[in-house]
Amino acid sequence: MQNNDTYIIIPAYNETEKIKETIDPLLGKYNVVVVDDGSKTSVESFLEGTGVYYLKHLNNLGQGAALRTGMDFALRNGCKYIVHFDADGQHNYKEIPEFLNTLESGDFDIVLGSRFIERKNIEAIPKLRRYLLRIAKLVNNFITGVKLTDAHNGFRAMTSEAAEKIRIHQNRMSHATEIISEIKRNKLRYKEIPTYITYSDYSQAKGQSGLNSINIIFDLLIGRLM
Amino acid sequence: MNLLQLIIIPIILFLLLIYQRNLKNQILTRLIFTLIFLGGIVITLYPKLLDAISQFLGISRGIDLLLYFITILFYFSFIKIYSKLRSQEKTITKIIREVAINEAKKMD
Repeated sequence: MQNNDTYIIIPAYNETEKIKETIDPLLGKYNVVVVDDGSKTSVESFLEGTGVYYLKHLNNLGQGAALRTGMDFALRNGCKYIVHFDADGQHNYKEIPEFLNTLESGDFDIVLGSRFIERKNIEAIPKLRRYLLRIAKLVNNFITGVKLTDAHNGFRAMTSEAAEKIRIHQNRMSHATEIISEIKRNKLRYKEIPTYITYSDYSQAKGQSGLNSINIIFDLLIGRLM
Repeated sequence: MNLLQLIIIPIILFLLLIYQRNLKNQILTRLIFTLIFLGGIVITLYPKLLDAISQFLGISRGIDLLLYFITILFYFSFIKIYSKLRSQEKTITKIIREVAINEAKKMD
C-alpha cells in the first residue's frame, strides 16, 4: 500500500484540541492535510509538531470549498489517492484501509461510505438524522440520478484522476450532492462500503441542524438553474 | 389570453433562456437598460402614449402595462445581479484557495 501517496483531507472549522485525537492515528501512515476554513480561533496551535500539512482559508467558505482546496494541494503534490475525512471524530480511521484497498483493486474510481449497509451502522444514527437522511436519499436520487444508500456521507476516497475531474463549485454543504452529480457526469465507477459513524455530543453540537437541509436543496436547485 | 400575453410571454421565456447562458453579456444588458431609460423619459413626457400602447395590447389602463413591465424588469434585474454575485463568489473562492495552497505549512 503506497501510503505516502495517500492524502487525507480534513476540513476544519472552529475545531478544538479534539482534532488531535482525530489526526493522531493517521500520523506517520498517511499524508494529512488539515484545511482550516477561516476559523475564528485557529487550529494551527494544536497541530504543532504533528507533521501534518496545514492550509488556511482567509475567510470561511464552506466545507465543500475546504475539501476542494485540500484536493488541489494534494494533486499538486503528486498524490495517488485522496481521502475525505471529518475532523470531529465521527469517522473511523480503521476503515481507511478498506477504502484504499477498494481503489487499489483498480475496479473503482471513487469509494463512498454508507451508514445504511450494515444494520449496526444504521442503528447508530440518531432518529431524526436517520429520517432526514432517508429524505436526502430521495432528493439525491431525483437530482443526480445516482442511486445511493447514503447520499450525504463525508467519508470518501478517490483516485487522483477522479479528484481532478470532480468539480466542486458548491462551497457549502450542498457539495455532497454535487460530488455525486459529478460522479455521474464523469461516468466514474463508484462503490459504497459500510462505515460506522460515531455520534458524540461534541460532533452533534458541531453538526448541521436539520433545517440546513432546506438550504442544501435551495442551493442545488439554484445551482442547476444558473 | 389577450394579445399582450401572447406576445410578451414567449419574449420573456426566450430572453430568460438567453440570459441563462449569456449572463455576462454586457452590451445586451446596457442596450436594454438604455432603451428602458429612454422609454421612461418618453412616457413621462407623453403619458397618453402609455395608454395608447396598452389599449393596443388589450390592457385597459396604461398603469397596468407599466406594472407588468416593472415586474418583468425586476425579475431580469434580480437574475442578473444574482448571477454576478455568484460569479464573484467563485472568483473570491479561487483567490482564497490559491493563497491557502501557496502558504501551506508542514507542521514539523
